[in-house]
Amino acid sequence: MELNPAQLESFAAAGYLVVGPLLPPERVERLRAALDELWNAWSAELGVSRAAYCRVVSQWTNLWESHPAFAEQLRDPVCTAMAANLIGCRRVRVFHDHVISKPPGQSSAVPWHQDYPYWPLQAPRAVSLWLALDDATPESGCMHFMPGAHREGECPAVDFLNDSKDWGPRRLAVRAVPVPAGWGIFHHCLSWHTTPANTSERPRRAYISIYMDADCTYDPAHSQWHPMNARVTVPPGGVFNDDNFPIVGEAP
Amino acid sequence: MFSSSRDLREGLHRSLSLIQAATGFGAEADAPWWIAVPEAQRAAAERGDLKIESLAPLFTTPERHARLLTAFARVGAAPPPPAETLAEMFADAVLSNRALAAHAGRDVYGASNKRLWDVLVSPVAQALDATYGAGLMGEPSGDVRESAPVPAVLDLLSRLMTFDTRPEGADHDACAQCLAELLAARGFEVELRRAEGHAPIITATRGARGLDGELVLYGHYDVSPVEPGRAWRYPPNRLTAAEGRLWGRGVADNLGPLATRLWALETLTKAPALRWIIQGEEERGSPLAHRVFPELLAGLRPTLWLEETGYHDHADGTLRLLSRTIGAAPDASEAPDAALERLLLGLRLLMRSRRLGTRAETRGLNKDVVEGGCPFNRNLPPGARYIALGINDSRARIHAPDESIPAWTGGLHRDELALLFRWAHRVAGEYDP
Repeated sequence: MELNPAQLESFAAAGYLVVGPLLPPERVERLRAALDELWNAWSAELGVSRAAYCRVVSQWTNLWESHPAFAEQLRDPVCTAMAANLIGCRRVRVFHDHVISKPPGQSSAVPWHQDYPYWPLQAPRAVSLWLALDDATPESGCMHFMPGAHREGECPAVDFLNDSKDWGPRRLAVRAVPVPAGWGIFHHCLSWHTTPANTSERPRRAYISIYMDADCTYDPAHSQWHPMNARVTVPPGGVFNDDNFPIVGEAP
Repeated sequence: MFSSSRDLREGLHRSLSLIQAATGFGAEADAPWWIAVPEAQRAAAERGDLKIESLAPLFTTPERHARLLTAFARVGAAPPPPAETLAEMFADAVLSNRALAAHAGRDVYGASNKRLWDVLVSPVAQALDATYGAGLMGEPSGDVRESAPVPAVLDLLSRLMTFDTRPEGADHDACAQCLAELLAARGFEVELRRAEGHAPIITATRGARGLDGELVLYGHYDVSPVEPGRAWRYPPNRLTAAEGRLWGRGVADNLGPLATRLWALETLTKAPALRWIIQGEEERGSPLAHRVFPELLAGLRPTLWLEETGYHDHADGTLRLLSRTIGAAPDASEAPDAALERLLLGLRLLMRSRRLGTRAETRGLNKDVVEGGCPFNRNLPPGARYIALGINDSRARIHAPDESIPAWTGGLHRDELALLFRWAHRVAGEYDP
């Protein structure tokens, strides 16, 4: 499955693109099972119940290093080829992956933000693939976008816990983007997006892979505190090191 | 503002400081600027670097939680949750930290930290801002004792020192006139009470500038004699800045405090109503003031009476908080009332933000050497709230050679006055002395 010109054009205009189904149900189930496995192990490691653990902890990064199911998904040739097409590069490298979980009744909204201001990349040449592991609805905290806002460029990083930005009329253009499990949403690293709290009775898990142009270079001055900075072994201005940021796919 | 777990830890350290300032010490005890923690944790606490695991019991044990409730009540902050609830919140925050360290698991919404922030940090900041003005719970600044003297204060002080206001001097009238002009330039209505053979008493009044309440300030523009034959390190009759201090006759008693307050009142745009009484014969027994003050002070009921100056310890800058409520007998000291306690709390927190300790005592400035007693202190009405606060330190050597003041206290005293003004505004409607 490849992206067609209309899809590429839509992505360029809106800053996001819904693609699906990307994964068959059994692949989705395998990722859920992998997550269960990891959560059981990690909660046991900390000596707390899984319920207590998942009530507090909601994001896990670099799962591709923790479980083969995520490593396989990260390198999925269909997904990586789409990412390369959307970025407009030959090969893509992983910046990091992560799962974000919104358990029912235990999450809050993530404010409107762009991703790129938080990343130590010298250029906004990256996309995220937001892959739904559960049906994501407006009630359960699906992605919301401001179509086209990415074309206005980078804005200062948002304070996630003290967001008071007044969006004015832009609010009217907000799109909720519900997707079934197994579907994906690619979004540009300058897209403006948010997710509300999960007010449903169902879990809302998503696996997000961040792909960047393989030639992207490290710019710690752009984001000095990002947790991935600790994994970079090249000097500023260098292409990211392959061990922690491997090339995972290429354009068709 | 809360953005991260680091903010939370810093905020919790500030809240501990409040608890210490509000409950850890009586009016007679020392209050070092660092927070009260077990000795083994003192160094980390001074760096603001206690981990969340160490901070938790400082809020949740029965004894600590009782202090927390008291401290929050004293500053009018929203009451914190029960100890058990707080303990659960801390447990979540600790779990969040452990998950991050163990396998990069994150509380991505910051919910566990934010909940603690909302109940232990934010209410304190809001309550303190309302009472004392914004920024009191900010992070400790650098060493305030390295602050340079304020140029405008140096100018004013130099000018006042040109007058010979020693008991045998001839410039009392001229100095009073100069002060009257300086006060008028700052919006005061000035009256000079003259009597044959006496130095004039200045009474300066100014209406409220955006804040309720009223303060009565006291001072004197005469200086003590320079005894012949006793050597001075620097010339006594002119201002010298050296060795981190300002030297000369009268710099501490009382021209420096006068100059500092004149400058401060020029820079503080908001102030309650002020009445400043300045006499010119303190160093010779205040004969005119003893005659005039009983009537002059009798009808006044300000929110606070502010002494001519106050003192820091010269060794480490600790502020001596001399305050009291006036008892039935003249000049009698009784414990500060609730309103004055709130002021002392604010001053302790202000000093903490400057990395200075405080030592509170229920008494007035020692003026036993003044023949007949101090006419200001002797005529304070029963129930009056009194505080001695100012720029001097324990090396000031008033009445002796080498009189001096520290060079760094001027800016701090302005901040103290700003806090006093905000406090007066806040309590003016709540307490009626």
